[in-house]
Amino acid sequence: MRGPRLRTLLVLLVLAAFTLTLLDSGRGSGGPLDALRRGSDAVFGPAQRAVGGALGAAGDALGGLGGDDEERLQRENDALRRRVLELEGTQAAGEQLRQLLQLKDQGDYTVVPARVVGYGAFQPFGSTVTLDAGSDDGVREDMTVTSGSGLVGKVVRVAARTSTVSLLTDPVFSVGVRVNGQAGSFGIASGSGRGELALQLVDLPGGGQLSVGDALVTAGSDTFAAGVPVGRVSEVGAAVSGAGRTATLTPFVELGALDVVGVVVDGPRTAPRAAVPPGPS
Amino acid sequence: MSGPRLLLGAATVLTALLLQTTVMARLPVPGSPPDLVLVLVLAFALAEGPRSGMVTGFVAGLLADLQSDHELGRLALAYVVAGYLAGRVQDDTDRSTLLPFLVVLGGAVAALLAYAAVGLVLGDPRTAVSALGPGLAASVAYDVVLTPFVVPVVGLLVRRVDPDPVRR
Repeated sequence: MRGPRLRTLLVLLVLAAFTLTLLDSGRGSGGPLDALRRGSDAVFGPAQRAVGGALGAAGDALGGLGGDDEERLQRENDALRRRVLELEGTQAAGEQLRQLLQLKDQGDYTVVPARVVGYGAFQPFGSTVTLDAGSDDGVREDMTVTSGSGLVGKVVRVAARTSTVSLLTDPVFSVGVRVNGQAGSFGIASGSGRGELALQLVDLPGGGQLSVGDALVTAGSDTFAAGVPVGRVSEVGAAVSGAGRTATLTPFVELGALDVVGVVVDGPRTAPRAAVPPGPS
Repeated sequence: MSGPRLLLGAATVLTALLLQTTVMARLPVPGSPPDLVLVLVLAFALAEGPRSGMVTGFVAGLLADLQSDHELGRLALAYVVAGYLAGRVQDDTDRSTLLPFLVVLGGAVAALLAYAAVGLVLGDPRTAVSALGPGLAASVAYDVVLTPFVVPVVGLLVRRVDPDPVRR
């Protein structure tokens, strides 16, 4: 195939891809393209779990080679080491689950526990994680996702047995917040894409000042659970007249070490009594 | 395109997609993870020319788009552009050891730029905020590191299926 025809193919494929993008960008949820996505999740999800399992099994098989005593001891040693690591992992997961239950008790939330099984593989600019709970477990779009230490993000897509969560530092994420303990305050925290959130505080009653270390919790809305700890003020921006105050928030959750999280499937509409964010750790 | 060649394309693309979601995306490296699927597309472009690069890029990109939560077609467009450019470069240069690395470097940058450009057109807040940060530079570097593991293997497989490939 020669030059001109190559360029025709290039233009055709680029146009086809861009047309798809435009069609898809106007969508709400639902629609044939969304069905296509869910179909691909349904096919790829089990395959991913299988590959994960196979990688583990391959490791075990390699560890099981050899015959004489030294090798046998080495093998036992390896198996025990693995077991210790496994137990340590279980213990850590248990601790996170315990914190989650504590949060649930404090706030009257109904929480579905889930594990993070994947980080977004094709998100050059975004940050999402995949959970191992989906619509079969009662998870719906827009639901709040928390961990024991605070807000993780919200559900953006749901398949039967997995769901995709947009992390709170993702630039497409924003949530209504208030300063913990100051009932009249209101602001919007949005992800800034650098592991932090940008806070725009619209209303702080009584001429109060926002200072470094202040904790912010979700204000609550139709879709968002109220009183979930979001983050702490790490830097106060210059006051912009008319637009309220700006600040930078550091999230309470450690996003690099997510394991067990909870999807709030039903929560109180008002702030729970004990919305005390955890102290700096 | 012959049956075995079609099978080779399907098998390598699906394998790369699976490895990307299960292994690559979870590598504990700083910055964005490497994009194995993109490197595979560039490898096909290097072995067979721009047409193969574009078609592989389109199909692999669409499948990758389905595994993400941005608009469909965005990675497809980025991979098509990268595949075209990578195939064209090989046309007028002699083979050298360094060439695949340079092609992967250029292809990865081109794909990111194409992806970001569509993001700007759509007003995607993710592109506006963190366009081409250090995390993405890291991803490009990791892609280059993948080159010696992917490009020779794809070249070998392509020659096995068709010992005398016509560059198209």
